[in-house]
Amino acid sequence: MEADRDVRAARDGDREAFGRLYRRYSRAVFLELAARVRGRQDAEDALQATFLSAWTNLPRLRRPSRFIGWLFSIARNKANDQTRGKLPRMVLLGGSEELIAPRIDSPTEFDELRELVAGLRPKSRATVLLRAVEGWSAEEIAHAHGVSASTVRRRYADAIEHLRIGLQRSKNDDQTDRTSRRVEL
Amino acid sequence: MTRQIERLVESSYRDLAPSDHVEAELLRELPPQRKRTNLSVPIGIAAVILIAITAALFGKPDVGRVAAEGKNDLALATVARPRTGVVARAATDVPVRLGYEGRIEVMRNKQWTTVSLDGLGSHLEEGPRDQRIVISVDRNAPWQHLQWIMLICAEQYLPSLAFEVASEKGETYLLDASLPTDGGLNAPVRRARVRARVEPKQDKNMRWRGSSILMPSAAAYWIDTEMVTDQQKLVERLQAERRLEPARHGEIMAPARTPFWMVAQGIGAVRSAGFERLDFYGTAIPPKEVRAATALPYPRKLRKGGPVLKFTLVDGDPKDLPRTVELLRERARVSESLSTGELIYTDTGIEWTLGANEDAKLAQQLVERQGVSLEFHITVEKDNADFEREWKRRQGGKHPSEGFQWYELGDFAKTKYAKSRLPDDTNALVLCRTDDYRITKASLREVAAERITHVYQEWAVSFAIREEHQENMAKLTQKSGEFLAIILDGRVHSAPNLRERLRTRAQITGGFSERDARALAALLRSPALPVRLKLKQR
Repeated sequence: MEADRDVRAARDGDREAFGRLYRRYSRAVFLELAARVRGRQDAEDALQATFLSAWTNLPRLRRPSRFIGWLFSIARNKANDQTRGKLPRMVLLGGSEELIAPRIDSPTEFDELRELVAGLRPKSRATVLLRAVEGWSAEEIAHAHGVSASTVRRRYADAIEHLRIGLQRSKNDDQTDRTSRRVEL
Repeated sequence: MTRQIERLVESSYRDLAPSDHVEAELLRELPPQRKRTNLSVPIGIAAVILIAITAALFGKPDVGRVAAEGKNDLALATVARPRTGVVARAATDVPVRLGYEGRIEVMRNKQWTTVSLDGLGSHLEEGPRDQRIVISVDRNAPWQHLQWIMLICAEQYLPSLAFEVASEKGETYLLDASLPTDGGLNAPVRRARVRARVEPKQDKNMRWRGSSILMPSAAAYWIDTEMVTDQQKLVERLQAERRLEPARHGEIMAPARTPFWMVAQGIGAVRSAGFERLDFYGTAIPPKEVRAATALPYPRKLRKGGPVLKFTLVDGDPKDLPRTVELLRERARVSESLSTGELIYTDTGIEWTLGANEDAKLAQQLVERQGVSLEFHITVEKDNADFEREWKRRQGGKHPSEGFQWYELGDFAKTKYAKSRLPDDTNALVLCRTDDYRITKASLREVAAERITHVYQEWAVSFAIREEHQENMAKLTQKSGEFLAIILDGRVHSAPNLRERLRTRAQITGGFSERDARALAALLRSPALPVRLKLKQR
């Protein structure tokens, strides 16, 4: 296993191997973090902190095959650190209208979906993102989340079902909106 | 279908990836690794022992005592306080009159229909005009009765209903029933989940005693928009549609964009179908729209003892307390997430009984912070001649020259992010030019907290700049590359780099939680409080 080899090498201080590990897992870890923290900046900070901590503590990792699970547990801790009692930072955006985030008045299908995804619990959200966006298998996610593959499959199926119902419902509503909803008062 | 949703998720989040600079920064600055150590187990044991000893020595803090004391419903406790009686006033657009045997009659479809408040310990009087009625509730009426009256009124289309509590001294304060008054009952509950938990009435005559109604796809029930208030019919219908199954509790889901009145009506229907308890839980996601629904009383939580915040006067004249309470109500209103619940003043401070699910820390922020000042100034960078001169003056113990001012870094700005953008060898002091175009809190309008992204739950405070100040803002921010210090309460909160002129609108972002964003927006929108208050007891 290539990844295991890299983990071993990085454990012995090989920076390039660690760089390869970063490129291999950073997006997945980022998705996990994005499902748990408050903003891109926070997610990136936590990502950096995660890999930094992984690097310094790698010599303590006894079994390289456990690397992913270990990495994700660091990530979850960092995400908690980020959200717990942290003071927000401020950045002023603005000027031209385009820079202002669009209001949510006219929902597109993406907005509907994102809203629904935001409503999932962090675990389910991370599962959906890892699987649908990063294309991980249930086993890989199970490894990362420290649960069984069947749990992941169930979580995933539930989440997708939730999204499907939500989307269906908003579609139906659009239709009822159009055909006017008449009610006797 | 699963594939389709997967593809949708994939394309919707395709651009969600860390920026490249993260990798570059990380790999450039890798610190030395730690050596492997075998000490961790003994250290862990030692830590556990230490914690155990500490816990044994100091014991647990006395939390929850207040909650335990308020053994009854909170609202009841206050409502039933001596010297007060409760009066509910319902204003409405439809004609209302007092009917036979003290019942309300409402004009609907050109006919008078009767609204019964039987057995709720209340009596009715006609208000000053025929469009107002006054419902007086017995002083000892249980909290649920108030709730039911509210629901019935919502059901019967009497929108703005506030309970006025009058003391014998003649002071009145509002127990906000928090039905939506701004958007009215037609305000859509957009993409909201309102769940109600129902329990069967313990009544021998009921057919479904011991079981309860489960409406898994109650969405259909709502979409039908059909009211089934007759309990017999409701049961028959639900049984026919195989929606009535034995279960302990039931849930009702309101589909997206249900107008609020329909929610209220449905709740009313369930209530009149003979369920004893009706709880809201699992509040919905877009709080603004759903506030109305969630702010309805929440007896389950309240029974556990919702937060009662007691603030004492630290500084100021007790005579100013009534005015303070008024201002706080306004703040709570603009925060868009707190009902004023029950906010009263006492001889030495104020007491705020929050509604259920409400954020006590937000309330605390709103009360304890007298006000905020907001200024924008351009910073003077350390390679500037002005900076050298002012730094020398400062070291010599002199005040800064006219048009310059030193500001301390606020907590926000102390984070690595903002600090890296500021001159750093000045002991966290930032020099700003203050003689330039003045933009303050008063220059802003439409200040609002907004959620800006869905995936991160990130919030921002956005605002527009008043027309007469737009020119000033543009002039202030004309030089690209300068840093604009945002000074909140005399401290620099951050100093972003200017990339373009600001003129009409701007947004302060950067990892705000909902609470922080709402607090800042509310503070920016309301005037300073005349007194200073501090939380004494929760």
